Amino acid sequence: MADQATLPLLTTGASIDAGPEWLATLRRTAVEHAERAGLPGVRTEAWKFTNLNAIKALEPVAAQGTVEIVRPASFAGMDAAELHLSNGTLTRADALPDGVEMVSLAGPDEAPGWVADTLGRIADTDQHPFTAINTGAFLGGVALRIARGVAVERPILLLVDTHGVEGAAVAAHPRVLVVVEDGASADLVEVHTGSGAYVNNAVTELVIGKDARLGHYKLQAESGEAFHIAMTAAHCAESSTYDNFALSTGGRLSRNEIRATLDGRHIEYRINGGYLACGDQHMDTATFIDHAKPDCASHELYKGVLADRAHGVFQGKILVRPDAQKTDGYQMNRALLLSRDAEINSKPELEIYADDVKCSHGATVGELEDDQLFYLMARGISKERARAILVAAYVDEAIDHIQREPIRDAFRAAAADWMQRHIAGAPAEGGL
Amino acid sequence: MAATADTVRQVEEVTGRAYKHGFVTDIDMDMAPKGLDETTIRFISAKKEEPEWLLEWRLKAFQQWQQMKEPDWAKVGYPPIDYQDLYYYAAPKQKPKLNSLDEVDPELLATYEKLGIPLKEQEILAGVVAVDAVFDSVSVATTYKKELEKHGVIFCSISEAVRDYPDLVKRYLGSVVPAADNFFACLNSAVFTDGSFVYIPKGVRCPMELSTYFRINAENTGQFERTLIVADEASYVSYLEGCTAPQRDENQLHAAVVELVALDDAEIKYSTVQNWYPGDEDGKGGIYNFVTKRGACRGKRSKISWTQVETGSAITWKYPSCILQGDDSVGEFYSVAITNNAQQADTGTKMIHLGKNTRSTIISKGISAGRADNTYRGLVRVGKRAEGARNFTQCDSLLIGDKCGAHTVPYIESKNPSARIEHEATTSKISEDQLFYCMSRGLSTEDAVGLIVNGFCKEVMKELPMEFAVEAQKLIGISLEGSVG
Amino acid sequence: MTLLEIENLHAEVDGKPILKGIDLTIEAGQVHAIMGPNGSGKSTLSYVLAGREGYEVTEGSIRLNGQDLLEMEADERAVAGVFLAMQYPVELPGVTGMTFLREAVNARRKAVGEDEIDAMGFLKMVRAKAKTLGVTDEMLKRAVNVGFSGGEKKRNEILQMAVLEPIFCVLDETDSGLDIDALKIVSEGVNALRTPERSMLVITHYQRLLNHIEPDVIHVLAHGRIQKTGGKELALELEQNGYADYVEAAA
Repeated sequence: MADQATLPLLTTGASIDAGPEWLATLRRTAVEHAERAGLPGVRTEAWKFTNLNAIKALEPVAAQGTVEIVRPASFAGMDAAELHLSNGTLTRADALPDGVEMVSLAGPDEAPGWVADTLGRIADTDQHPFTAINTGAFLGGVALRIARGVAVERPILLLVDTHGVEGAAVAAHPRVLVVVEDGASADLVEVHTGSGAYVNNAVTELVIGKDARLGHYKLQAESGEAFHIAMTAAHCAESSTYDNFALSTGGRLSRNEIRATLDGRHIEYRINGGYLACGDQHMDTATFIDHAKPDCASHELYKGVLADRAHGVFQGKILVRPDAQKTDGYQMNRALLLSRDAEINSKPELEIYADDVKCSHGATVGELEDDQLFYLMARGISKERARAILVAAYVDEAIDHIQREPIRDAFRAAAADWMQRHIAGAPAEGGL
Repeated sequence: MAATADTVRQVEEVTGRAYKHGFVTDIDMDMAPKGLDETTIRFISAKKEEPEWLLEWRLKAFQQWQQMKEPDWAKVGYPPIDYQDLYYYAAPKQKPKLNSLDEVDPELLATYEKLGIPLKEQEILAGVVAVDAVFDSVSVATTYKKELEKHGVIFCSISEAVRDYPDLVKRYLGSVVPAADNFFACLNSAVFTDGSFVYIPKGVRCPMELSTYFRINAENTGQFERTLIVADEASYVSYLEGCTAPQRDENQLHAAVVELVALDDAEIKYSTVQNWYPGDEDGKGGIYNFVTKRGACRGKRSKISWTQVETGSAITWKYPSCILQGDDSVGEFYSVAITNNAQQADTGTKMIHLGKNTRSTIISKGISAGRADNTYRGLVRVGKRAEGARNFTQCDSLLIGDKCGAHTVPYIESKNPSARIEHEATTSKISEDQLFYCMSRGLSTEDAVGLIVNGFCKEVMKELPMEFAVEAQKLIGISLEGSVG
Repeated sequence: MTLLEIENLHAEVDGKPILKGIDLTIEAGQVHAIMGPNGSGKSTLSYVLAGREGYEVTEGSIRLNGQDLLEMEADERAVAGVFLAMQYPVELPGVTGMTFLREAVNARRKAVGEDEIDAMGFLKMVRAKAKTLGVTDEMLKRAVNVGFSGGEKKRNEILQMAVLEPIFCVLDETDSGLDIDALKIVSEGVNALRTPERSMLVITHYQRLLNHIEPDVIHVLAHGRIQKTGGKELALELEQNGYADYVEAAA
């Protein structure tokens, strides 16, 4: 089985039998799943609006070598401990505070027990072919453990960069695992960048313990020729807080999937984000919230801006299991179409099996409000500028939900940077 | 929590109580042999003395159907249907041509009376509602034909229409729901036995509400009726459809197709109260209701409005839809779906905006009790040329008891920036506060629940024609004894 | 000196004629009031003056200081000194009050070739003006009009007027939705802005606002035309007799 990989993407990664037995077993199962499923087609409901033919047509090669990664300008002012993953390899790791343990996943022969016990247990490979491919093929990555009760103030900034090679499609499968033990708290910021054509097939697994808090913020600013396929899978325990935010601006085709299981009472889950697309970009956001236990709250707001010929996809599902009474779930996706050729597919979904719940969702699609434009113009602001202000404000409503201010500012700057480049008349960074 | 427990019991009593319409009429049936092949289709076509083109159409549909797979995307589960184990044609034996109701088999009329369709009475009541009653598969009698004829309105069984108005039928049949549209519609195209045909000429406002009562009677008989309504320019018609079926242990298949065509400035209002046998408390028996309903707003400023109250069937699979082709055309979908015990409903609509300034409204109310699953599934699609299109969707779910499920699956697709689409959905239960408030004003639990549930459905109920509203309220109300309304 | 000159103004909305020949001249420093029944075209006039899309001028002219207003977009008119205090101020989620004001001021400065305003000085100036109108710092930090009460929205409009220093202000039903205390604050704010150079057009259904903002001239608008022009006594007359005469007269 091991050397009969039929999926080209699988050939770009690790040897299945390398490493300790637990890992080999994990990889073998994953490869089996990946090969059985193949890459999904549009007949698969979860991929209905995202055609993967362009990825299927690739003859990917393994990522080679590493490059030095530089923080994007918008994150320059943020105080953070940096970790660099270049082409899937850990190339820099700043000193982390006491109570934070870091393990490179490049050669986890001597991985501590908590890695062996957790890795691959959160992100399911059976139903998710790309996760299976990552699990079968990842060459490197990083695992972090925040020890019980430790509050890490300084954000951990993980810069993931993939470097394409002329004439070939590089594939990288970075893997991240974060375990926040009971009562601990931390902020993880992921920034994905790159150059040239490549596939970045990333998987991040998160375990958030009892009374723990994790802020997890992601900027996807891949190269314009890149394919970005990412899975974030989180398991939350009782009374924990998970503050998630994702902003997508890059990539030719991207899919950001975030799945969280709220497996204890009184969990607060915040999942917000934005997607800003122009040119021929295709951006797919898929979120799944599994309310498995009573008394949890989830709040979700996604804002999309689609210009030129961009195609946006939003699929959000809230599942409330029979036990999960007193669930408070809110989900909203708003998309702004700025061009005649832009397109949006939105599918907010509720699946509810408990009667004593408060769940609502909504979706809106449209252009900027005429009366808002007029109001700004009636105060002397030009039409172009008025549009830009309103677009920026539109996205800012989602960014505003990020709990940590320095991180919020960085994302605001990243969004402003996108506006500056793609929306005529956009206010400068920090303009709002 | 006592009040909640009461609520659950009350609802069980209402929606889960012995099926009122569960009885079997003993009439000589004229049946085709069990099973489905070309011979069956030729038999049906021959029985109905159909022209060659229609037989060809059926046979082509059958060929396509054989290549198709039963859809599995809906949130419903049921054992595989053996399509060879069904009867595809069951006509009550009767005199071939009927001139008045007097010639209808009296036992059949009695059946209708038991169902609460006072066919004779209505005739006496001087033309309020014209009823085209479909008994299993064949339309047995059409009332008020003469009065309608005066206005040029054609209201007859589709078989008669094939014979008497072949051009109209040929032009419109399959023009909204193509023969091979989907598995069940395709099956219907191959084997449909009867149904209603309506044509409203230019500028005519149909003088009465047209009504069809469907009823499934024979054991193991699939009912495959086909309805076609054409509203010519600037005409108006309101069409009512009521459905009941006797109680049986076996599940019965119902795969109907309804096609509506509205030309310039025409309006069609189509209302359904569906009360097929839902099966018993354990889910035994009941109707499998796989229905394709679609309207084409072909003309400018045309309007099609679907209103449905779905309380019956073991499985409901239907998505009455509007294709808004004409500029400024309007589509509406108002739905109440109640599921209890082991019932499963997966219902909703599709609003396809193609013309400029097209508008659609979707109001869906799902109520789930017992172990039932109730899904709203809808699509709002705005095409590139649909400048200024507007949609508003509201889907509310009410859960009664903690063993049932309520699901909302909306698909929203827009390719036009000037379009505005809004979707809102909520899920809730009847709150203790609401119950207490009503009860503190002297209402009994059942009255209070009835009041609240009816209030929950009000936006939809007010769209129903008067004739139906009362019946529908009874069906959804918790206390049926006139306490609501 | 004449500031505003409206001649034979005809305008329609969705193809329906609303204004049917309005003539109106306002001298610099004057306050004119336009009163009229519902549906007389009062709000249409205000939108036509401010240049809202969808309000089609079919005939006539509007000149401000001799400049043809109809040739200008809404933002150009605002820069030229027109200010419309709206009956229903629009909510701008995500746009804070300070940003909004700064953008508006800078748009003007840019038009006359000045540099952007100094942020600190601007903040001070806005705060000072806001204070007199009872607009709190918290309101300035919040998104424009989002979650504001009716009174807060109207005070916010007047604050914008005070900051932007227009030469011609249109106050569209500024009194609607205000209780007596709020009405006082708003009127005082408006009165403080009366100067020999600045003119105002106060549009209202009721006479009570004119007790607080005393106009020089009153016009009665009905059926898209000015039916009568007079002094303060006209408002009192209307207060007593209502609009019945005008509604019937032209019907």
